Amino acid sequence: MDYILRKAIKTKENLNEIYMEVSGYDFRDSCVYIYEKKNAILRLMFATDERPVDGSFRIYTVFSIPGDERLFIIVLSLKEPDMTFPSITPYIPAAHWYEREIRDMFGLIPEGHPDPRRLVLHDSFPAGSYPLRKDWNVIERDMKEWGEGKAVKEPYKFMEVEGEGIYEIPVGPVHAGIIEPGHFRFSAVGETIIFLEPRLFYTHKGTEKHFEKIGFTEGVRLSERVSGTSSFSHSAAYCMAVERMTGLDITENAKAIRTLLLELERLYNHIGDIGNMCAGTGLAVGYARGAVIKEHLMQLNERLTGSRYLRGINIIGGVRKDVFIHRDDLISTIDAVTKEYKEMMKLLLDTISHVERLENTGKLSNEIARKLGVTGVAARASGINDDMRKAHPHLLYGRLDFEPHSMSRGDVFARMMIRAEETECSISIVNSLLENSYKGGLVAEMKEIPPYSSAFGYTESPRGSMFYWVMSDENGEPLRVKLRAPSYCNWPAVPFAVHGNIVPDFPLCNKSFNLSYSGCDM
Amino acid sequence: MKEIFEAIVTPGSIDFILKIVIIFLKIVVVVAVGLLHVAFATYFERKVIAAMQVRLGPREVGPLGLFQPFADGIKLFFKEDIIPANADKPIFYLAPVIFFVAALTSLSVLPYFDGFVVADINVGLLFIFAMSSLGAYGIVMSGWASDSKYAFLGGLRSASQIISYEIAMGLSLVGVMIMAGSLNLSEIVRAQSQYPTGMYAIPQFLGFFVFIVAAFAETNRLPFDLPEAESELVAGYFTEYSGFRFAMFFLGEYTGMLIMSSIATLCFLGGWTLPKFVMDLLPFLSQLPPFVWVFVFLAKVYAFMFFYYWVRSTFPRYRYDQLMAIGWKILIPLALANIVFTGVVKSWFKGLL
Repeated sequence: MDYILRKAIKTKENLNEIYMEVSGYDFRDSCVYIYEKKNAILRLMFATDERPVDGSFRIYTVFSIPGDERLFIIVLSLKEPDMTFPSITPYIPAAHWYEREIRDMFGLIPEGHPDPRRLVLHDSFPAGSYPLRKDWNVIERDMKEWGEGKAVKEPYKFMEVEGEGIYEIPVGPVHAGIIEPGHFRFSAVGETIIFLEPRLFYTHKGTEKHFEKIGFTEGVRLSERVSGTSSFSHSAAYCMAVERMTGLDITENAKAIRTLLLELERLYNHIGDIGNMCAGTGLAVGYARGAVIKEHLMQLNERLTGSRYLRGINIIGGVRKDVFIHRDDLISTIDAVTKEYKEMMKLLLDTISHVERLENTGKLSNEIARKLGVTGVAARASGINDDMRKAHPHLLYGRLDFEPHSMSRGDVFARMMIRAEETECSISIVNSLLENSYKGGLVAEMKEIPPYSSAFGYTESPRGSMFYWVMSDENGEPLRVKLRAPSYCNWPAVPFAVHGNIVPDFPLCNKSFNLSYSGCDM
Repeated sequence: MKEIFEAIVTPGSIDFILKIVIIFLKIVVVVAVGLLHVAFATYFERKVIAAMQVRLGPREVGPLGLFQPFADGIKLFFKEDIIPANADKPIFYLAPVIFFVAALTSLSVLPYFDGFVVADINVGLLFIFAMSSLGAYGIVMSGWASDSKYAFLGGLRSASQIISYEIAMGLSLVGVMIMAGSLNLSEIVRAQSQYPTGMYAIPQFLGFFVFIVAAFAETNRLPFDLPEAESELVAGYFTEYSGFRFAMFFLGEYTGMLIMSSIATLCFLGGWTLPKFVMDLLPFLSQLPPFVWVFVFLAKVYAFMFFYYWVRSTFPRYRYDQLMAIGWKILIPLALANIVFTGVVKSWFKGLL
């Protein structure tokens, strides 16, 4: 660390966050140093428009080093008129989407980025218009231009594979099932996929911009609605970020409730996902069983909180309801679910033709997973033992006794088994949480939000690591809210996993990652 | 006028006309009753699978949802018939007809009870093979004519699958032919009823096994429903079809299942007969009129249909290469071994078979 600290112009510490501002010359060096020498994981990278503060744009690159609870943030300030920064993608491929998004949303140009195409913005979005800048106004200028039919400024160019016998199969963005929009373009020889290019962001909603408008308190409700099946992880991470920013310490009781509900969310997701994989192989009985258990768990959620998706329970400073008054219901439902779940796993693992389809399908190598910054179940199935609950203990996770599992094989089977092991781990966490009682009320007393302060909130959602970063303006209102859901990290890995597989195995590979479109198209 | 009338209406010609009328009547009965069975096979399937998945299945239309098939039929009939702009129209129109007609034609050679068969021909079994192969043309043509990649891929997969599995299916039935000494389906049933076990499924267990697997593949059912694997290729060869043209594929598929179940019943399960020892035990059974035996036949057919549904809700779908490997590397060698074994036993131990 001394290497970067020596170069740093300015440093700042806030809880476990270490901000190190470096000059434009040292930015790339510092990032590459921490990534290669310290084996760090790129957690996220984002830009802010801090011109109201000190007249500059800033780029934050967040790393975490295995075995270290701190977050290392390398910051670069950009002052007009120089709107370029050195791209780190050639050295850290995981940054490729972040940098393209920064270019789209802020107009800061990553110099040396290999992909000049737009990522987030629609083809017909006016060029030179950067939505996340503070002075951007949608009504006056851009809507008029859209209306005048100046569409398709930059038609998106798909990568083309040339050669004898190669044909393209376009799938989506409208799909046969009830899923969100995403376009997949396969280049195949016979049945074998040579190349797959997914195109996402069809439903980019401007969530981050919206967060800035509605204020921190309303933001909880918005964060819950970013992605349905990880509503609670989103709101927990968001609340954590705001609480850390204001220096609010939530009670032990609230921490326990959040931990418990995070695990319940993981449970219904993982079991549902294992069932969904059966839909990928056409094993109807496995799919139906997964759906039944998931339904039991979601009904439990409703009894505990009033919402099947655990919405409306998190507020800044704590939680709205005490779920520990339902202790008996929790214990009996979890026991029943455990029994049913074990039966289901036995059935799945005994169905040889199912297991045969999972093994060696959709392999994601450790090397590619590391380079692309894959997170969550997919990362652990490819041998990266990274779990936010262990890497950066928060809530009550520091006290709980559990070990994240990882497997090195990286195929669909490994992703199923990791989910299975984590399901059992979650069940034991829930049971051990229920054994104790916790001190304190539900909500801590609110404090005033200090101006120009910022903090991270994070958690391990069912799909992987999730980050929020919030910054307040002079009035204590949001200046910038950055969110990074796990699907954003994992989507670029899907094409690598399906490479060399046959086209009919794509749905299976895709289901084994189970990525969210709305967790990506923010 | 009178002379012409007398010249035509001779006792011989009246006989002939009567025969034709009877055949027409039989056709009407078989097609009407057959299609009704097909309609309720869909209801049966939905109920069985619903029960296996702890659901209720259709229950809104009519008592216990019994009119659901009619509701489905009416819906399909009144749906808009969409034809893709670049479709090869004549072939596009013809494909479902070929598929459906090929399936229905097979019904003509099936004996439902002793003496009731539309066409009692001596090559009944071969005729059914021929018709099920013709069905593949309907599939390939629909895939080609739709001018859609999904349909085209589905059609190609289906064609290769049907061609591969036809061999195994044909070979699996050779053992039965050797034992019965005939290709006429009624003869096969009669030969079976004389056999001690009353069913060829017991001595021909290998052939029966190969036949079951091949029959699933031949009718594109799970676990071999790759041509129309819904999550993967939208719907397969009939992606672009809608309304009644789609219904024809749908009906053809279920008719195919019904026919495969009937073949299994006739060739391996003793058709409309009960095993000899049962008949000896309950002698009053032989006093029953012949048409009653159609219920025995139907009971066996529906038992086999139930097996179809059971498998559908139990097994995962096979991958394309696995499917081909099973067909060529396992089923065909097994069927060949069965033929050799049956032949050897038949010629060496004349009394045994």
